[in-house]
Amino acid sequence: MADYEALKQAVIEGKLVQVKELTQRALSEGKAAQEILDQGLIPAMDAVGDKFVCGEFYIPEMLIAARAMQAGIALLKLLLVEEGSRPRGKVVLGTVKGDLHDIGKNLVGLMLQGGGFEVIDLGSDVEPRRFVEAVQADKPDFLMMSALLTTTMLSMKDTMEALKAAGLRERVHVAVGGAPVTQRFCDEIGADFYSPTATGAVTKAKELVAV
Amino acid sequence: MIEPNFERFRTVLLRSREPDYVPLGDIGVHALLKQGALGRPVRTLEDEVAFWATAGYDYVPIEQGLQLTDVIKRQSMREVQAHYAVESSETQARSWATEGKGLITTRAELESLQWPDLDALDYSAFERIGPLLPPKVKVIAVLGKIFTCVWWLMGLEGMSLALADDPDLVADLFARVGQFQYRVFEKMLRFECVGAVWHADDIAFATQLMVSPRLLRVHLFPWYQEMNRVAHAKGRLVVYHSDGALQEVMEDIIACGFDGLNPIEPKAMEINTIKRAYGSRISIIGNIDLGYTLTRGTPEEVREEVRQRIHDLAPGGGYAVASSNSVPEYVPLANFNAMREATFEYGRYPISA
Repeated sequence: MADYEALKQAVIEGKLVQVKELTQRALSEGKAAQEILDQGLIPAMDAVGDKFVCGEFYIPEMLIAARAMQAGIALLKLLLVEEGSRPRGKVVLGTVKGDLHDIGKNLVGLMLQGGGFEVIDLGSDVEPRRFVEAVQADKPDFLMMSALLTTTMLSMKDTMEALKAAGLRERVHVAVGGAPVTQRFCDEIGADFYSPTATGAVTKAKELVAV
Repeated sequence: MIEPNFERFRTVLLRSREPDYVPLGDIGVHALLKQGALGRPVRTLEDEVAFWATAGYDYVPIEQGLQLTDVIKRQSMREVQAHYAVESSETQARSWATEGKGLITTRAELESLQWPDLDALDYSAFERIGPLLPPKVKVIAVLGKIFTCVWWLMGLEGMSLALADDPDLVADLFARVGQFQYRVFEKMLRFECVGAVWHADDIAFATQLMVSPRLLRVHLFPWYQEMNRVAHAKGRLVVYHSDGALQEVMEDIIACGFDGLNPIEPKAMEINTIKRAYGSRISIIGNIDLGYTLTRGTPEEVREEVRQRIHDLAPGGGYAVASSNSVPEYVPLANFNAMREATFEYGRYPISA
């Protein structure tokens, strides 16, 4: 009998080997990959996110849990495709031009993946043009941009302008985040939402795809 | 111009009385801003002294430590050229830390790392600066970077995963980095010109600590507690710099013996709340906002924010004006000047209502 509670706990505790064993056991019992994702891995990452928000988990605990989660997802990936399963939504994310700060963006990406989203990570030092190309090519539901510095943050405005010029602005929800980013700046550049936390960004994304 | 006087800054850190003026308390100013303020490039030690004194600071900061050596600067960081400065058509170089997998991921890599030679570090600035300083100005020795160098060497993700896979590796690296910095600290204190030590070591971001308080209490704070004990015994004061939300470890920071805390990032900590809760036990330095005011605001907005901070925080002493991080290349010169001029204008004691 698939023990989703044990699977969830193993993810939370970052027990990678146990996550793989429990995921494999569930598959062996004939459980659908989508069910294992929905009842085991996604609730696990929801719990991890809650622990981060309430200050019980910090960056290391998040990354350790996320690594275990990814080990489970790796076993499910091809099966999810075979089952015809669709992700909850699709997100393109990246850190803006001139900025190499990764960790915040990576945490958002991991939380989104754990929340059932398909994540296309463009990496760091991403020019506005590349963001636009990714929106054009990948047709995501969300474009999420991150910056560490006030000076690099301004590139987000350039990306918004480039999206408008390419006729793509209305096709995607744009989210912004990072140390210098504020709601005021988000409003100023016409982005759709800002979150000061990784979990907040994921929560908002879930709300918007549910609409 | 107000005569620079380290006693002013020292008075703020001691919180024994109000000084004559609210001092400035930035520990880092980008070379482009220095050049703009001084009117010429800052190339020599003489230029450095001239900048800090004429800009109105009561000290000259001099940094040394593992963070300046090749093992960090060349092997653990990546340099990017981009248009970071708002008032230059040229690109500037900025070094970025490895947030993924770093130089040290295994014990073998730790053991094989060529550590910099402590005896080869350059202290010539400390040796030469004495006669160059204005009469009442001191040096603030800038160090810290214990937690920072550990994760710079391992990568932030590398360190995080190692805490699960090989916690002894992380512990050993903390010990080695701590010991290296402690030896630098000992050398810094031998110079009479040093009036204080400023430990810059970011442990938090806007919403919380980067790692658990337990990790910091086991591996980091004991180093600073010991360094601060020795500094105090030798008549020097100590300041701690960390970005981010420090509320969870404020009592630990105070217990380490720090006399001052900087920069009080506005998004992370409400400065009036911090002053009310802790201001009798640790002096507060900073909070002029880099997120908007200093970078994208007008000089008038900068002046108003400085005036407000002085009005709210300076009565009774224990406050110095500074940016909410350092003064980077993307602060317009007019805003940097406005921050300093407003401090001189509004910062004379007794503070006007």
